Amino acid sequence: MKLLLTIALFVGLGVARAGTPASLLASLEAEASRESAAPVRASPARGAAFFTARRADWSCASCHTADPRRDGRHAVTGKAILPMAPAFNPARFTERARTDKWFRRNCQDVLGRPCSAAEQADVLAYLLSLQS
Amino acid sequence: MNCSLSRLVDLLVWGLCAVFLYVFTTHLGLAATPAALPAPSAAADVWREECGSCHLAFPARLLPAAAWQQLLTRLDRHFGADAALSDGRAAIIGQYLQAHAPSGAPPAGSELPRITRSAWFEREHDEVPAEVWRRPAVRSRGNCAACHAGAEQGVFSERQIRIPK
Repeated sequence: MKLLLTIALFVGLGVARAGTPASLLASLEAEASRESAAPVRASPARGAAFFTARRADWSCASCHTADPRRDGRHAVTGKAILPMAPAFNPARFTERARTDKWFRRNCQDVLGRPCSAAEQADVLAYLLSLQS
Repeated sequence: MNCSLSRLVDLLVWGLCAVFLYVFTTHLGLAATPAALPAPSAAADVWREECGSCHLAFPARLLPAAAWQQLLTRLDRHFGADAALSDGRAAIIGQYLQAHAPSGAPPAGSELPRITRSAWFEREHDEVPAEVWRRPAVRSRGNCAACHAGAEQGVFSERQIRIPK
């Protein structure tokens, strides 16, 4: 019986790892608030500006297009990238590990540094604001 | 629940675990010998997901094992992009590629080995005019799927070539 309970616990943990974009936004805002020691509210407008701002060579929009409701295209390889806005691609921002991986890599490519929790929250708030 | 029923449930669960473990290890390729086209396995799924996000998941046979190792040790600087992996996923992909790649020297001529610098690649594509590579639908020599309709399935036969306008 203990074994059954253990397995149920692991299955439960697996389910708990899957989240929603809204719950991710809340935890990013909480992280940003801790980092700045003041309450941080994500801003879709700041996120939109961040998304299209070109740094050295690239912006987020270079691959994801300036309209993240649409398919993007990898700037170097030409491979299709599905929309980033959760309303147009429900799989987005539902797995924390996956989200962390892509923010880590892509911020390094675009900015040459990791993105702060506040920046990630702004981008996510912007993508969530795109409804139709 | 009485004691004997509880024991029966435990037995059933252990049995299922054993079956799962058997299927998992055999599919990982621990028991299988490498074939030309690898059978679907957990490692192949990791390879397809991680190597196929930004470009085609290039099949192992397109580069020698030594070249894959060079690429995997520098994923943080992967042809101008950060492709770093965590949680030991690079090692899983490395084992998978090593098991299915040919031996030989990596193609020279660039800091990181490029499939498109391989002698066989140059030979197979020597009839393709320079202008075709520049077409918007092609864009990159690594964009195999632009012309090879079966590229996603690892098929590059002459019969499945369609050059886009």
